[in-house]
Amino acid sequence: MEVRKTLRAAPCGRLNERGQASIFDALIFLTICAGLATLLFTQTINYGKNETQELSFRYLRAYSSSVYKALLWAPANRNDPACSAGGAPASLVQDFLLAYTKERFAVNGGSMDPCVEKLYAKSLASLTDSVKRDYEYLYAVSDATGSSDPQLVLYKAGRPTGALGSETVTLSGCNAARAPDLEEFVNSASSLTTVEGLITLPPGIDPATGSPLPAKAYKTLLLMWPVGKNGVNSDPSYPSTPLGAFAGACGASGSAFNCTKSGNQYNC
Amino acid sequence: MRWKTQGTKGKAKGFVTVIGFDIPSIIPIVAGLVIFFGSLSYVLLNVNAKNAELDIQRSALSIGETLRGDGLIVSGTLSNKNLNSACENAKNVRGVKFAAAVLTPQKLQAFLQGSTQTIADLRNQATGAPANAACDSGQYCDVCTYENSNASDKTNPLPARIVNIYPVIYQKTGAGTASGDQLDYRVLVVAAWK
Repeated sequence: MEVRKTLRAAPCGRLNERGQASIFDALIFLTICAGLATLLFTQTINYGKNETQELSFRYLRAYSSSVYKALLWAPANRNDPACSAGGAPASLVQDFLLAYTKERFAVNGGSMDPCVEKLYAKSLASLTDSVKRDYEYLYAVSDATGSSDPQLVLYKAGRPTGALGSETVTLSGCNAARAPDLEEFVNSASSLTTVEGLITLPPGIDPATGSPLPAKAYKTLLLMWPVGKNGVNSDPSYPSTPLGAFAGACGASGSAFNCTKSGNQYNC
Repeated sequence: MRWKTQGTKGKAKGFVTVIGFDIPSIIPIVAGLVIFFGSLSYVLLNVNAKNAELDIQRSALSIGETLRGDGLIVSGTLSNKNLNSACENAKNVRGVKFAAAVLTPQKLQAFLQGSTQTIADLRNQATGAPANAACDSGQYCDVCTYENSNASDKTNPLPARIVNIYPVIYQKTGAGTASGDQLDYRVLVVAAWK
């Protein structure tokens, strides 16, 4: 008891309070350190996420751009059965797709024909085969002024089917596509990667005068998006999805190309 | 903090007792410092690793876009001009190395589905079978190999995300084959690493 009294009376009691205060200060310091560490961890987790997403998007854009550019140089068989009136010729005569498109466009008096549509379907299927199988796409050629309906619309919905090495891709044409439908699709779809360009197509010869009509500029558009983002099924009975709505609006008269892989390319 | 201690009658200043009172508070302080500096060093390591990865991705994109050009590759090789531009781009990012090859789609699948995805595998896919390879006559089909002599670079697996692929059209030079097949589909593969 004597000792206790001494402790209470002596400055030792004051020292205990000081000791407790310093421990409290230290605990506050520990709390601040723990808070800072948590903040640092949180920042680390999120660090670079936006840039990684931006780089992924930039790669997809570069990939789309590659497909678009390569499409201009793609091989077109001038003797494809769809392009020759007299059945299937034996020999293969190649040309650049764009060059042959211009020729056919002029011959047909300023419109795309099933031959060109098929050649584009084959080229698109072959060019997008490499890695972007989980992507859907739409390719359109329309008047640069937007005053008339698209000349050519092809789109792929869903993933390839069949065994590896002999996959089948279905591309749908849209013969009755209207410019507002296409615009509506572009506006309502999400996660789109867009590549646009201009090509000059000769509309042919004026039947009245017999002189060549002046060439016109046409806008070419390639859109790519992840599978399922804008509607997995292109069936018009799924109007709630942008692709379903577009497919429904463009009419059921479009061509369907079932392209099967053979070697380095697809045959439609 | 100097305190008068019991029994010294205010004349002597204690040493051991002062430390004794501070020892309990030192422990949380030290723990706090360890937590802070530990997390700081962890964060710095992670940020540096992420920055390196982003540098590689950025560099791979830049190199790929340069090599791809306008999408037409003649004779299975890229021009020296493009190759030099790509090498200059790679030099801008310190320590980034790259290899590029033009492959057929089938060879690309074989490369991507292989058990390893090394630079050596990439080269093997490009040169393995001249009939299916990108180049004519079986010569080297890797269009650009900007790498040092470190053997491990060629045999270490490459993370898939730094292998960028671009579809291109390949044009054979000369008269072409008997079938007239002069244009074909190819893919440009660009692998970058540090």
